[in-house]
Amino acid sequence: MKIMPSCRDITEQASDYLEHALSPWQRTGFRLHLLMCLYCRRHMKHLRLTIATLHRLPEETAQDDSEEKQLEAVLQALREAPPQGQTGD
Amino acid sequence: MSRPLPSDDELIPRLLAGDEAAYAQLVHAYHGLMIHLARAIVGDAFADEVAQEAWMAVLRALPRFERRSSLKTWILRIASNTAKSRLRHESRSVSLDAMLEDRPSLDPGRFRSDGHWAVPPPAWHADTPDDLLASRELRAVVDGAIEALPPMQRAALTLRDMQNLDMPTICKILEVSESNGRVLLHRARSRIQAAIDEYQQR
Ligand SMILES: [Zn+2]
Repeated sequence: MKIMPSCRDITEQASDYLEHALSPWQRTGFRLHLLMCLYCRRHMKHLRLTIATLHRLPEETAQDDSEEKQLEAVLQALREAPPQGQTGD
Repeated sequence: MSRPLPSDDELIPRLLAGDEAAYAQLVHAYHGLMIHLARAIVGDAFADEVAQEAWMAVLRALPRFERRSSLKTWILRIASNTAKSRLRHESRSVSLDAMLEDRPSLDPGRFRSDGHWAVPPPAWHADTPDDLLASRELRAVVDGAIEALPPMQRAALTLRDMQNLDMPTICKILEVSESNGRVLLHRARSRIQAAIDEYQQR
């Protein structure tokens, strides 16, 4: 088993690293590589920034009133649905 | 904002008794999430219909709910399955395998044969999400990259990074193994990151 992951390995394992899904062995190799590799440090920084930006998208998206209307439509359909246990099929 | 939802123990008997207020609370609590999930899998055009269909399926299946997961997970899994079958119906070429397509996260040309960077990541002119989102153009690039993702990748990304669900829950909802779920998430993130890389080099 090789100790040091390559730059390509780092880019493949990046989410597993952030999600704490690497083995202790892999995690050590991952961190060692980052210590020594400027580009992979940059890549990880950008990945974290990408994720932080994605987190912000839902609140950036303007709320329209269609969701309220949809909710009403769903509730109306549920009201009109036959009571449970009596659905013919 | 919506009221906090009662616990499953409290809510389920009320739902089974046909308590309309309980249904209203349930729909209010999860409809938004359901729409985001449906939109991720089948796209805007069918999301509302799929969500409506999923709620009807929830209503029908509730007496048989065995509580092996939380009500929330169970409801969203029904929504995910409803969306997936709609997707298969709308585009017959899309198999589940295609939804789980296996390709490297980054263009293989970015690396030398020994695995070192051939085309290293370019510097970004941004240090915070605010910096990135300040550019309307970049925002459009990110939206476009999300739009271009394969459906299951978009679903994993939406639930994890935009709706903040945890990975075990997401994998149950999407009915994928934990490792496949992480692959979907990572492919999706990598494509968004690569799109920003490309934009930063313009
Ligand atoms: Zn490296």
